[in-house]
Amino acid sequence: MNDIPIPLLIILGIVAVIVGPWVAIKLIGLLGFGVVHIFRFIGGVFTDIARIIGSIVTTLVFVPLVVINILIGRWSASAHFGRAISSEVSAVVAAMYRIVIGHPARLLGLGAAVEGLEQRVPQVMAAAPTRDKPHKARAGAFDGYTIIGSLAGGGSGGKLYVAEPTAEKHAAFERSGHAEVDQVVIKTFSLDDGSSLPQIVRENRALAAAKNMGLVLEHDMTPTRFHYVMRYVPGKPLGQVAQEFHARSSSDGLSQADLQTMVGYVADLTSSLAEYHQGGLWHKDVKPDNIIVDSKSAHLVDFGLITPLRSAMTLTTHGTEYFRDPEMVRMALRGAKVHEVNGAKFDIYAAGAVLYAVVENSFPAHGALSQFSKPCPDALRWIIRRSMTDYDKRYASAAEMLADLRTVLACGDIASLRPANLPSVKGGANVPVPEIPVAEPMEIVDEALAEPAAAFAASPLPPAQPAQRPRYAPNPPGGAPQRGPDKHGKKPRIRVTNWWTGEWKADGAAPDSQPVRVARATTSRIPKPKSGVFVAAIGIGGKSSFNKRLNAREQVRAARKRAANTRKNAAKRISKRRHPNRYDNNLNWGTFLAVLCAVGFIGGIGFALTKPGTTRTVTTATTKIIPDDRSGQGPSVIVTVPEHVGPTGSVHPAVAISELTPELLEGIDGTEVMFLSDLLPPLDDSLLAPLEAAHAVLSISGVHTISAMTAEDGDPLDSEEVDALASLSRKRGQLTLGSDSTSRAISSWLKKHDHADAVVWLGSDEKLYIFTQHSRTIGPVSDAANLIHDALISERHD
Amino acid sequence: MLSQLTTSFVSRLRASDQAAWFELWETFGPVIRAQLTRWGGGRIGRETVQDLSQETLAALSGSIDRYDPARGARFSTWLLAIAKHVLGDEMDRRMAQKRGSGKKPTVLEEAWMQGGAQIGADEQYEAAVFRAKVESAIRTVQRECDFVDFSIYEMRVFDHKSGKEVAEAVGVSEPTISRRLAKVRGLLRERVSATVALYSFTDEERAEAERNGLELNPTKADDAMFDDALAEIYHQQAELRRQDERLAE
Repeated sequence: MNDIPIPLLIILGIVAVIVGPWVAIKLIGLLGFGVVHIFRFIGGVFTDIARIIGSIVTTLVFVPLVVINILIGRWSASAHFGRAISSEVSAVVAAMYRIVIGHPARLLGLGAAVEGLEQRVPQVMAAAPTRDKPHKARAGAFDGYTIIGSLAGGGSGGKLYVAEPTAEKHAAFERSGHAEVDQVVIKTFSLDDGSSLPQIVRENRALAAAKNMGLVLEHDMTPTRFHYVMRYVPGKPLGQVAQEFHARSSSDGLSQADLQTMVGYVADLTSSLAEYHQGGLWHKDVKPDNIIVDSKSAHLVDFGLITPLRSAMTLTTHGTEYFRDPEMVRMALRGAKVHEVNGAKFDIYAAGAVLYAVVENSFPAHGALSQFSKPCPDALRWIIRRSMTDYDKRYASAAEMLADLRTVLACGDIASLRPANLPSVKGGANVPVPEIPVAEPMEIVDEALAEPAAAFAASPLPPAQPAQRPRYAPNPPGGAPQRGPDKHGKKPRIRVTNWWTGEWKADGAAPDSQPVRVARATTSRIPKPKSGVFVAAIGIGGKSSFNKRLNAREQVRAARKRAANTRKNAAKRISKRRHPNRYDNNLNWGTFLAVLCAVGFIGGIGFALTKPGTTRTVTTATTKIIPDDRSGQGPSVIVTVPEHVGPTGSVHPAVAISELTPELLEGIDGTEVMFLSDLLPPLDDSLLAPLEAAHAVLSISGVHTISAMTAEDGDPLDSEEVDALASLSRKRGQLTLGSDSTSRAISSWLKKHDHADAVVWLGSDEKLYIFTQHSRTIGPVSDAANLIHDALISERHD
Repeated sequence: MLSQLTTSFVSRLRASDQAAWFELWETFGPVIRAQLTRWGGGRIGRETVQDLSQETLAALSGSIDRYDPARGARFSTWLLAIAKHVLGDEMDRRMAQKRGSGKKPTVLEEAWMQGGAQIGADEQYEAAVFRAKVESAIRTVQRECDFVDFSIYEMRVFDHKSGKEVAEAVGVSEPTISRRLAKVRGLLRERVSATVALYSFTDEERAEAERNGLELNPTKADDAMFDDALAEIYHQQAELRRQDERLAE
């Protein structure tokens, strides 16, 4: 120490003073970090334990529902609840995995302990299918389809059934260009089922538009019912998928991979929306429950509110709260018309809300200002906010939003992606803002619909104004939208330019094909409106073969091609039947588990009741009164167990014996007891019941009873027993049972006869006399079991 | 004395302007539902609360013509009185149903009424009403402001990101961020002032903004305080919305 120079010591001291606090702070920080780590670990473990408990309780709620639905024949519902059980079991397994492996490796926050009960149960209950078959009296049958199950109805009040088309129907679909329609969903509205006429008409208006895009396969309307047929899309609703993703992830939100998957689904949704908007339609009810996720992608379903973007109808507030733009409500309340607003922007809002919902596993309760409680990459936040922001500032089109989403998907590390890299921000998207297409007029495609549709038409469609922009739509970035002839093969629109001469021209047709012309000047006819059949033929698939008629050779070639396609599709269909991704209401393993639990529960109760060592309750003893043919002196009381009751026997109420237990009766097995009665039948229940109970107990205890058995009842008596019984039966009604002489006489009789150790004699005074070789017991019949027991025990001791 | 804004808004309500009523519903619906839930003390279901909050505004539309600004009632008290009146009506209906069904009225209804009378317009309720006004102002600014500008403000103030992080995210320089923040902040001050005035009947209510740290004519040093106060209100209101969402599920 003395060797160290003082200046060095001073320097070291100064360094220590400077560095010491820093090191101390760092150490304290490190310590705090470690403590937080431990507490997070403990918190995570406790959370998962609570989640397991919650899932078990939830499963126990579902088990009886599965069993009840099986019992009442609702296979779809039982399969549904079975799937819910499967989901709960999966959640338990995931939680157990986290407790054993996940938590030690990484940190977890708090989770929803009662998530199962608070969220999944109500949702699964709400989504439960209805009847497997439509009520024939109300909904009737659907020609050409076999109903195989049902789906939960949406908010529009329609009933949804899953069906398989018959072979003829299938062929019809093939002919109309719908390949591989294996299963369909039939949405039906019946006046008898509670639907209203305006509701039906609204659905039908939507249908006319959806049909043009090939979304609807077929429709039909009767005076009381309207239904349409769509393809069945197997899978789960996006909301449920998101919940499952969140259930298996930590409280820190979705993992990178899960987030990518979710963004992919929303990209699918946005892509569908872009197509709809391009086709002149607006879905209007985009929400997680209307997005079905199969193994590959997400599909938008439920066309109940779908509306042409250029509709002349007044804007309504229909939609689902939290996924419906508040601005749309404001516009609707101001009385705006649909064609005055850009409906596509409301779909974009909803797409943003869906993205928020899957990231947060919650609703965007605060609209565009909704807070993010879970980690969310900046780029995704930006997309959500951009799509949910004010009407004038959000994405101009679904395509623009899709470009941003695809950038996110293409990025390997979402967290590192900055909003500045998104095409919509850096301005390199070059996504053209699509003009709002001129929608086809909403045609009444069914004669039966003509009247109600007319009655509820708020206003006629305005003539198409190619240069017209929506009144509420903002200016697109590139200036006013360029409108003109459609170069993508869209059907030209016929416009009458002179009603007097019948002059017309086709807007949107190729320049060389749209000279102003007079349509068949002699008749001054405007083009005939398309029939329903024609609409179906040209509309489906979105490609028009307007006015194109093939020659005979081409028709034959086309027919051969169709036949080849049909064969090919049939082969595909057969192979697809083995494909698991089909609607399935068969019993799944969740259902099996529930049934197993229920059977186990019932079996357990049964076992607990019949377990040896507990007090036995005799509930099956019955007594039969039959005439004693052998003695000829009136009937005897013959006691037997129910399996020995013959066709002529009468069954009496069961009697419970709690006083005598098999343990108490041990030691009297092998004893032979003879039963006799001075009373004539029928005996009162007050006498009969104790006797039959006593007999039952004796039988259980291994005591052999001798009475006037007939051949068909119980074991027949041997000849010596018959003789002994007959010798004693002769004295019935003649002896004074209470006297000592009788007691001595029977005692001596018992000593002579080895076939009987005791005689139980019901006297005419309704008392029970029990004789053994050494004793006589008298008592009330009501105490028969105890009296016989005491007598036999004391005789055994003697 | 009512401000011109308030008079105009009340006139719109009186004229049955549905958009004005929707504005009122959107702004104060969650507050009314939260208050009714508190009054119910867990004894009225969420569906009832939803129905009652709607009925409150329906009753408001009936009473708007009879409102006398000279009596000096606060806006928040006005809302509360209507909510209480609606709750009382609901209790009366339940009592009538009980009498009609041959059962004795339970003491439950009496207790509710007493409880409702005692709770009154407490601080929690007043604070919730004020937050709803500020939230409305934020929404207005969001509508009026450029999307990128408002997003910058959201990221910087509500998401608590640093100026550098925001600049990197958006791809602009930090001075630009500061400029845009100032622009949004200025607009927010204006709109908070206007919105609070719009939904205020008394001078005391109009002075609430300054009491809550939202200086409307501040010096530059007060910017941070303004942002903090606004962020706190935003997060509290988000929590209220989340509770309201759970109520709606």
